[in-house]
Amino acid sequence: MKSGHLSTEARQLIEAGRQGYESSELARARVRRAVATRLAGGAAALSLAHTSSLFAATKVVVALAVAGSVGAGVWYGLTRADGPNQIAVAPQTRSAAAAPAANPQTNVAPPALEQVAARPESSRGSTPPRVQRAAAPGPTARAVPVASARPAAQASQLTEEVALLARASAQLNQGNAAGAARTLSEYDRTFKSKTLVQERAATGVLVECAMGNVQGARSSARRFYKTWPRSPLASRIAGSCAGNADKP
Amino acid sequence: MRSVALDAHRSSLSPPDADGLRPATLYETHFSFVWRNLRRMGVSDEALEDATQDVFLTVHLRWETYDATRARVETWLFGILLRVASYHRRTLRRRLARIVPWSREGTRESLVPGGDAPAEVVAKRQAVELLDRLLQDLPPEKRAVLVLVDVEQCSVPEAAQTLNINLNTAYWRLREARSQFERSLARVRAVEQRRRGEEA
Repeated sequence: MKSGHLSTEARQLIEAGRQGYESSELARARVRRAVATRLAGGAAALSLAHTSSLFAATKVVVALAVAGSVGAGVWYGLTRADGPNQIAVAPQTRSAAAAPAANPQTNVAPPALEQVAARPESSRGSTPPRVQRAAAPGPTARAVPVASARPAAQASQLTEEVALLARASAQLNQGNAAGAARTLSEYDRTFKSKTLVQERAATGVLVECAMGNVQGARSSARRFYKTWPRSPLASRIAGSCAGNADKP
Repeated sequence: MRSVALDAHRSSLSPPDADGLRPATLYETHFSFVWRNLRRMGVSDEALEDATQDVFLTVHLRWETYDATRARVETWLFGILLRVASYHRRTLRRRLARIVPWSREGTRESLVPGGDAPAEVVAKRQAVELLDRLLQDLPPEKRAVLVLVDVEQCSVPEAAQTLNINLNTAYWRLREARSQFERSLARVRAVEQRRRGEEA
């Protein structure tokens, strides 16, 4: 056979692992809500109205969408750097589901996927496309210089900062909002001069959401948008209870 | 025999016509498909939800381009998730390498639950973890063919169409991927055997 054969053991392994990696219902709900938020936020309008090639448009949109999440994803990668057992959190998606649970009276719930999908393209929001945000290098990348050019002390501080933020994220992931808030306080006390200041601020918004403090989260989100209008973490905050109503 | 089984598998995966399919229903029916294959294609745990979002966002945007007479919805979805996974892998790796060059491993948590989980659950998770590890050892382009053909049980022509490659190239990549997969599995088993011998 020109494509070769797998041994019985390999086939059995594949069979056993085929249905692996099931997502939790919570993750499913978070993603669903976040997709609806992003569609309602105008990502769809971006793709089709201004480009003649649908595929090219899609690539652009995906690049934009992914740039936002990957920018923050770097941070999540960072959060794993200090140990394989650290479980990091995707703040945008997490807060997307956690927020309504923590505070049902919030009024920033996005439409359901079906509702968004049923709308005509022209009516899917008028939010300007996020081209510039994706095109510009994210503040996360700029904030952290090349390690080899950095004194060891700074590298050590970064590792410690990452560890504390990772702990806060893990606590958030476990539903321990109060613990996450305490960890952030510890982070603030420990590091007067922060490297991951943007990540700290984003996590703070998510913690406030998880604690049901929607007003506080919105207020923090407003400051975040003002300080880092092109942050790749902005889309995560937009997917939280803070929403993007106050986004410039 | 294999083709009969494959046909049955396919019919269970996708309806004969796509009239009833919409992005929202796809979300319900194919979330797990997207989720597990993003992982197989190397998206890290922490980026998985974001990558899944990106896939379904793209599904909404490109839905009108989907032609049910040309491809099964699974292979269409796989084409999308492949690009998203590639972007996540590439960008994350490049930026991580720049930012934390001292940390290039240990970015996955164990899938094996500790404590009192039933033996079969542990065994299954170990299988999932091992499969994941072996898949990650493969170069992405070969891994994609193996995942499509051997894991998701597509035909090789379907895989070739999904990946937009020549049929012979698909066969070649599959053969290479299988061969490498077998070698990696043999290495793992040898290590396990040696360890057991040392413990005994």
